[in-house]
Amino acid sequence: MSVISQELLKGELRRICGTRNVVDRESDRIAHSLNRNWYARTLWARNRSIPMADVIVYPETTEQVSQVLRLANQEKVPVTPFGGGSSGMGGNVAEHGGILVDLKKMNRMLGVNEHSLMVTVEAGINCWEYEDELNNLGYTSGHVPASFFCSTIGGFLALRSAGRLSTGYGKIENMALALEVVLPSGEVVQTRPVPAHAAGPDLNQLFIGSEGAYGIITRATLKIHPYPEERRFRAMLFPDLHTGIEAIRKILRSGVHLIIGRLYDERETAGLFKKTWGVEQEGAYAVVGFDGSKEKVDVEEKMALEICRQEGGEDLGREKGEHWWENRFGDYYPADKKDVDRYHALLGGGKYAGGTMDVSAPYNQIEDLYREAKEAFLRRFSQRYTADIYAHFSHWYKHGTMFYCRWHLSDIPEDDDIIALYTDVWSTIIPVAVAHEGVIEHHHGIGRLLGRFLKLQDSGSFTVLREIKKALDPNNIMNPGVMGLGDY
Amino acid sequence: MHIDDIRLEIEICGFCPLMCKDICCFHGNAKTEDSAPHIRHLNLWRVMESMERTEKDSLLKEAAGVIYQCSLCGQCTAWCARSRDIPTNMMAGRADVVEAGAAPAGVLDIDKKTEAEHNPYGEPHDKRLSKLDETTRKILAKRKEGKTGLWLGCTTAYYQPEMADALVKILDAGGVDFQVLNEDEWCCGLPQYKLGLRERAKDLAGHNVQALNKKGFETLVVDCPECYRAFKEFYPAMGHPLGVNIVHSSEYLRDLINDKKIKPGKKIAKTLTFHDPCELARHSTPSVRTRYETSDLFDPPREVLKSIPGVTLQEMRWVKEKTFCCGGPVGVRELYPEVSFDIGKKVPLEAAKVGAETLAVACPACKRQFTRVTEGQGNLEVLSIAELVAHSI
Repeated sequence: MSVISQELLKGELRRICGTRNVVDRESDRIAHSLNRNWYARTLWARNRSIPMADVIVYPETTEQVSQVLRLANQEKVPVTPFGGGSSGMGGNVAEHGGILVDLKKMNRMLGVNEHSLMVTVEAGINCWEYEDELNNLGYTSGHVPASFFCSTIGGFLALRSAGRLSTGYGKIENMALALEVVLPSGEVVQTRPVPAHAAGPDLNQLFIGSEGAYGIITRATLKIHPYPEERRFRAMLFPDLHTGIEAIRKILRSGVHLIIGRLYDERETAGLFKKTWGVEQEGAYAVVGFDGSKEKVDVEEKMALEICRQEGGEDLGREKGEHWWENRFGDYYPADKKDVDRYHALLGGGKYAGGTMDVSAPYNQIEDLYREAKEAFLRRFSQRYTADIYAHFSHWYKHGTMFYCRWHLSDIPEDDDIIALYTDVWSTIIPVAVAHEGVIEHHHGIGRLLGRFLKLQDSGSFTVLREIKKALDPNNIMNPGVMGLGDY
Repeated sequence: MHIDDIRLEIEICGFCPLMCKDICCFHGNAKTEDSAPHIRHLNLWRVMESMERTEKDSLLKEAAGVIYQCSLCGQCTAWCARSRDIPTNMMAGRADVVEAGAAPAGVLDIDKKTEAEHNPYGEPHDKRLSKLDETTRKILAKRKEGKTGLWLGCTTAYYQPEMADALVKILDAGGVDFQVLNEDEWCCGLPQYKLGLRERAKDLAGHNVQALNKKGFETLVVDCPECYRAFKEFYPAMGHPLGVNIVHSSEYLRDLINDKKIKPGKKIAKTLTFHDPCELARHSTPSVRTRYETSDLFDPPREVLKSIPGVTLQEMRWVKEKTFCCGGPVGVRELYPEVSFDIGKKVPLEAAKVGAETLAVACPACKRQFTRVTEGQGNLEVLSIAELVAHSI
């Protein structure tokens, strides 16, 4: 429990970070809480109080971050780390007030090691600027998430992000070689940028995905790749979801290096064709992609198409595949009047609720999990509301895949509690995932919204996470509440 | 309220997932969350709510301050997949803020200066042409009857007189029968309009239209892109259309060269890059903003530069409709001097990346800004396209 006066705390922070890097005006505190977070936005739009930090700091060096955490630890003030603000899981909302540490002024690219194919950056660098700078030098990170323009490397690491090319380039945890982390005590730890080691556990993986609970990631060394000579996308149409899943599974098993596999279920395929090309379409639409030298891409494309054909897939050609890639960020914007109405209803009228969940599981479980999750959702909600749920499968491995489901509930009676309704949806779908060896989420982190369900999703490992938290952060100052790590 | 009409727009943009955030020149430098374009819309919402509750209190004043964290450069609009017109909405919000008596002190100061001296800088009106060089003044003294008007603009007159010197000498050399308005040229009013000072803007427009119409010009050559946009777009919208053919100086120079009235002949063996000013590239270009009925202004400055012998023109990565703001518009410089200065550093850095020795500009505010941020920083010279042409003829 903090007893330091607000003004003394701000004075100390100004001494550490400089006057211009300490902000306490309400508009900035509100903006940090609202961002992409539907929960805070809903509260705000209904004139209810929203959780906010007491003060925002914008450190410019690791030393400043360290001093801020030392101060916070000494005075027992909660600290919330913040990157680009693109997360919807609530992990960057200062639920308990205190200090919000916004890392966007630590945004330098510190050095590119072209010989060893790695780059070192500060955690607050914007993803688009990072990739753009690498492209100028003839490289790519391979990390292209939908939030490309408004997210940071530190945020990706904190939430175990995946980009749209993750099937080929891996998720962020596969890209990180070394980290610099400021622990809750203010101590700075650094790992080494080695390709692999056997000197104890991999500490990088302890901090990646820890959502600020174990400290603040301030710097990272990441893998880079020569920008490919050729990048090619191809669209396919499968008779149904099952044949599509089988085709991509077999492509990966064959050794073809897909950079992307994106497969839409029948419901989403129908909507996508109608919206994009204005035609009715049955089946399951997919985009597959390849990159590298032209010779390699030619061979891999041919092998992949042959497998698709064997599974009954119809080749729709490169044009539709390229169209998807060219418009890859489009669905991140509010699209049309329909979406506006939904936003409006969510914020004001309370007649609509909707969200996404991404669910990861082995191949032998994924189809049953997908089907049962849909059935459970519709069984639970379609009597009272207009319910809709659909999914695409967008990150693939030799051993399993994930589906990204979108759910919508419309015509919600005015006296229904929407926030309780969200909890009801999660409580309906998560047990299905658990029963099928699945995990929610695959690449968005779990923050505060889903963090409290983490205990349900493991068999004792939560205890390990909690004990590590206690050891590193005995005063529980670092982002309390994320990953279900509340009071202890 | 002016923002009543954009209520839905405010909500849509305010809850969009942040895609224009980092391209915004203000947010990109200030890094504060409340300086991001979509958050400015959310603050318009707060302004609106405050006014509906008739609470012209601290909340309104704070939200009002936030919506001035914007140069109105329009990069967010060019970037937005839905082309949300954030600058226009900010202008509407600012007008409401001013009418509610909640404008920041810096805005009121600009209003007072304009009222006293007919320019937003408070520079003495009676010395408007005093910084022009002697040759220019002699030329202007002998040219008092022409049917072509030359509009200089406040920033050129007070801070970049060499741009006017160059243009005057070129027109004179080209045999153009032209004249300036002398003391009858007042600020165009667009800086005030942008800051929400609509009554002041109307007064200025009313004066200028009367003065221009009295002259009976057939063509008005405008050097400052902001003035150009004011005459093209805002004067008609404010009920003060100008019955004259309005051209930007870059278009006029191109035509003089094409018609062989002037001939750039002296070699300038330098690598140049051209910075598109926001007002020409984004706000006055139909390919970007179809509602403005103006000609496409990407090409004229480039054609002029290419006509100079010896010049190698290298394009920067961020040009035309994606050009970066210089950080120099009236309001940003006065209200947020540190951010304004930092914004200005971006373009010279990009110019250096393409090996430019000269950064060519077509706007006095851009020239003023880039000159001050590059001072003592190396060999990059900042020159207007008219200055370059004047060196070559």
